[in-house]
Amino acid sequence: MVFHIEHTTEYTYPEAATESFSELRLRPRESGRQQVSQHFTYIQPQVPVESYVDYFGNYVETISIPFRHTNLVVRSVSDVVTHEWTDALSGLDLTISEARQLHHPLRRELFDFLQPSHFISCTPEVTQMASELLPPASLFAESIYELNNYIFETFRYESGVTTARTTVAEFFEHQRGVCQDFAHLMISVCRCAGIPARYVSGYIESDIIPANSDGTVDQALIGNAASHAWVEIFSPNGHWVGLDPTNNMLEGERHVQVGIGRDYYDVPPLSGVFKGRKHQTLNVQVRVMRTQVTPE
Amino acid sequence: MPAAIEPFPEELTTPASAGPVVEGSAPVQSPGGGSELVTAPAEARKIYEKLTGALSGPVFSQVNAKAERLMSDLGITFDQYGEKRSDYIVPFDIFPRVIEAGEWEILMRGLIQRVAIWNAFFRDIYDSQEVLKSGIIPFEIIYSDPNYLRGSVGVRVPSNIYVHAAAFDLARGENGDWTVIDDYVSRPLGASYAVQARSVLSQAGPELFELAEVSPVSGYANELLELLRGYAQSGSAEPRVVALTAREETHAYYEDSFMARQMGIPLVAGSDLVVLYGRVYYKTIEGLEPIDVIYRRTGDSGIDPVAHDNTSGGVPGLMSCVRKGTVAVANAIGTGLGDNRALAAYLPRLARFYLNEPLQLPVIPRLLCVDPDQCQQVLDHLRDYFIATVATVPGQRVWRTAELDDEEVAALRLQIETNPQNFVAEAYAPANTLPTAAGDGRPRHAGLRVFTLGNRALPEYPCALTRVAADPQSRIISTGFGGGIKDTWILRGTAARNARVDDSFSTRQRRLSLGSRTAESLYWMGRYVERAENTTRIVKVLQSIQTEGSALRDDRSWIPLWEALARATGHVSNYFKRSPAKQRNVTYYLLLNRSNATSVISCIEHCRANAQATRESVAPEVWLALNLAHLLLTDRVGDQKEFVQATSAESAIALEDAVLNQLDAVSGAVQKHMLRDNGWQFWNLGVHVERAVTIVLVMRQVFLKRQNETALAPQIDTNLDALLRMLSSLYAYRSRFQTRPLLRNVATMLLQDPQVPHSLFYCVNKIEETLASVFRTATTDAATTPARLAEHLKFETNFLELDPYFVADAKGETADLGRLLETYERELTLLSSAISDHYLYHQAINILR
Repeated sequence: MVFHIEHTTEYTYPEAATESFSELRLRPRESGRQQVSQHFTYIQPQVPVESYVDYFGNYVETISIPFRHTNLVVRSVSDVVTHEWTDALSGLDLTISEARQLHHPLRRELFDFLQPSHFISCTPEVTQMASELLPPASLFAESIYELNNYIFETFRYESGVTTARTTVAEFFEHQRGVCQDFAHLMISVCRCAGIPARYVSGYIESDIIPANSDGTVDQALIGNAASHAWVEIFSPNGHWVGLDPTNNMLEGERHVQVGIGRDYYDVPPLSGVFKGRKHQTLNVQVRVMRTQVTPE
Repeated sequence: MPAAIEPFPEELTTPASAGPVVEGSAPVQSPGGGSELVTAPAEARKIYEKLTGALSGPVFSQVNAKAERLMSDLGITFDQYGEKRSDYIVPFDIFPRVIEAGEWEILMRGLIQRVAIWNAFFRDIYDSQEVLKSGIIPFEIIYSDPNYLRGSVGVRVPSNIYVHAAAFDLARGENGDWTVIDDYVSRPLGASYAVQARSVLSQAGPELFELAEVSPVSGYANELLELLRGYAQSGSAEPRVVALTAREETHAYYEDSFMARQMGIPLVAGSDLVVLYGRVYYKTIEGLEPIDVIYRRTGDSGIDPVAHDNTSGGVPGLMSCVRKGTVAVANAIGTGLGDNRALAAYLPRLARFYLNEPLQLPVIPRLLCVDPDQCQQVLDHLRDYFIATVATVPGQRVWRTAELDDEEVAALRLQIETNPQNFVAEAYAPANTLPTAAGDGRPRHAGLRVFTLGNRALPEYPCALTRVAADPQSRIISTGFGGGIKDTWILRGTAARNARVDDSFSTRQRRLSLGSRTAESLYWMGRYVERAENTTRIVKVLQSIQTEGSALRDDRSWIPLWEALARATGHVSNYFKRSPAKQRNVTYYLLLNRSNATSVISCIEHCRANAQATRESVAPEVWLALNLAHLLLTDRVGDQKEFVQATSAESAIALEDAVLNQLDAVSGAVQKHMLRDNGWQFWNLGVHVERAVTIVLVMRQVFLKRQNETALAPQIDTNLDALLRMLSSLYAYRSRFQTRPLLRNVATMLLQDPQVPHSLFYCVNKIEETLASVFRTATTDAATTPARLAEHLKFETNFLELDPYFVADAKGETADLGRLLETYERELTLLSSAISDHYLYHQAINILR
């Protein structure tokens, strides 16, 4: 599928801000499953944009606004082609314990995705879920699907309950949250069971959906109006496989990856500092528009 | 029994902890081990003998007394564990330690080899990580260390050099062999104490230096600066270097400011630097100075709040400049990883891996509890080890197990068993004692800290610090536990003797302009002191006229005065309505209420905070006077109700008088003791801007609508009299005019008289003069815009024709003086924000070349 994505973030400061410096992680990733044909970042007030690639391979843009400004608009526009990958976990007839054996030779490269990180921890609840849903002797692919389904069924999607800094323990308490919380929980359970897992930030098609070539219309997905987040687990077939516990599905053609990291901490779309009074207001708008159906 | 050697606490990288917590009571064993009087090489022994001879009898006490006085005069302090005060003078032992030239050379070569290993290690870790791929070091140690900076991986540093200045703690064994206890490869600390120790001993006992040929240490800072300048990437002939400090860490502040002063470079905080278009700039009053090299004294986590979240300090965006290579940071960002105590255990293997050489200086044996076999060994013989957390775990601690009771040992055992990866065990350092000149003359345990510069095996100014235990029994060699320091005599060998010793200050860098933060602090100190004075005086005048028996008078006639007070203290004009009954409440509110941001106490407290943040630019006399003013107010703060009940109008006035006197003392101290540098100019700028604003605001309220009143109502008289007193100009008026206050005379004098310090013209003239003298040589628009505004205002007031405001024209109308004053108020606001924007906040970006 081909998507035209517009992601606009606007900060309005109560008093003029100065010396603002920000890092943006907004450019979709290049991978076998998606190609970025165009990407622009517009900054208001106009300042030069510089870029680098971070530790996890994410494309980062930096902006510095030294002078007074009362609002900051970051508009990222991308055209992305995505491809379907339906049977990512198929043909894996092995147990979790066998899967763990298989990634042993890569334990250095996978270390970061097996350890606790800023938002990922093995709380007692997580440990219990890991032992119930991902016991060593159970089948790898099935258990992973089951875990994805379990989180989807057990927790309710509701915005406004949690924040960008909510921990897994707090999510358990509320039983409600957004995609970021769903992803953090799933990553925690996987890592706790010794399965490497990482955080994916990106977009999901959730706006008006054009009819398919056969006349059917795809169902709208949860996660609209803002960035989406899901999970990748390291599969014994040597691939990182995307799972979306918020929608109880495998990552598909309608997911667009932007950033990858240990958890949200590594891939915030915007992070930065400025001088001035706190309590800026934030307005985010994301539009993901399918511009054409991928030719068969 | 061996001795335990403590690192300086600053070396510990856990941001929140002030230093290790030490468990254990005072040791009781008597020291073992050999004294260097016996074990040192022959040449050193000879000098020890001579020293023993020279430092006896009356000479001893003379030198000792002199040294003690010098240490205290120079204020050589070090914070003590568990104590709040930071003015603890480090004990100084006049009996120097002697290190023979040959021994020193061996030592230095060994240390330079370690520097080479560390450089190779960092280059590898922050690149392809061969050392981890080949399993030389377990990757878990690196990847789980918070000081392993993922953001530094793949970032190239100039010449691949990570470690520029380093320090090493060494201990000398009974057989004379040296062992390295700790490597400090990110933020070495203590060189200033070594330089000062020499300066103290050479002043206290200059004759001692005739006994041996001792290498000089005084040029260490310059050699460091030369090294730092060598890392500049800009190719500039005059690279600009700054020292970046973390102000909140008061421990290191003494050292940081000493070294920066010695090098002649600015000591800056994160907010003094700004990143713009891929470069780092130092904010100065003249504009933004591009910076080539940052000698950083902050930890890795305090360097860039955007790159490494969770800190508020640092320079946002610095990492982006490092990545681009436009600025060099020494030591490189990421070297904090070297503080991990577990790593040192791998140095012998790293020497083989990177250099294919054996490690020259042995490292103290270390067992890593993360390894189950080693952990068992430690747990089986817990009392034989010195236990430490690996440096990067929050809540750094060390345990001298030999000194713990059974309960404490059991608690420690449990901790190790629960989290073995957090602990390393060290064999106790070799015992070695040095003769001391302390009262009892008994030898004490000693450790040596050696400072290296780059890869110079034979620096021109070898620098080493000897630390000794607090008492003969103690094995704790720590300046934070009452331990002392000694001068360290490195004897000059033939190589050093032939080497050129360059004492010239050719490497001293061109003085950078005054930093904006310092200028801003001084500017606001000037404004705050002036504001405090004005507020106090106006309140006092109001109270005085009311107690001076004008009770017959209609309250309403005072309205303009109350309005003047309101405007001068930053309130809307009708803020105080007319409420003589609440007078003392007003006194409290304006003088002592901390929640009133413009109260006198708030002003003084802001002023103090500014003074504290720019300690090096404020004369101690000013600080003292300021503190007395503060004390005067804090003594009375107490409870508002109590104050109102207990304070009569008379005693309120007495308090106000005392405050005014003390503020005069502050101003006096400033004029008498501050250097006539640009900092002082900014203080004056603040004073005159504030005063000009007050004059205009107060005048306007009193003159508003009243200039037309041709029939002079008596209350106008009184109000004018009060106005003059409020602006401290009654005396001036009486000297100028032999009449009672008349509207026109008062206006002329307060607006135009060049000799009256509280006239508008006097103030703007001062502002103009000050700006002209500071920016005389500036050529850019940005530097001169405020000066032009001031000049404009000066001419306006100077050539102001007041006739139209007081003499009716043909139509019988006069011009509106209130309007005019409003215009001045606007122009002053404009001038004040121009000053801020151009010199302090850099809104008019002016990049210096």
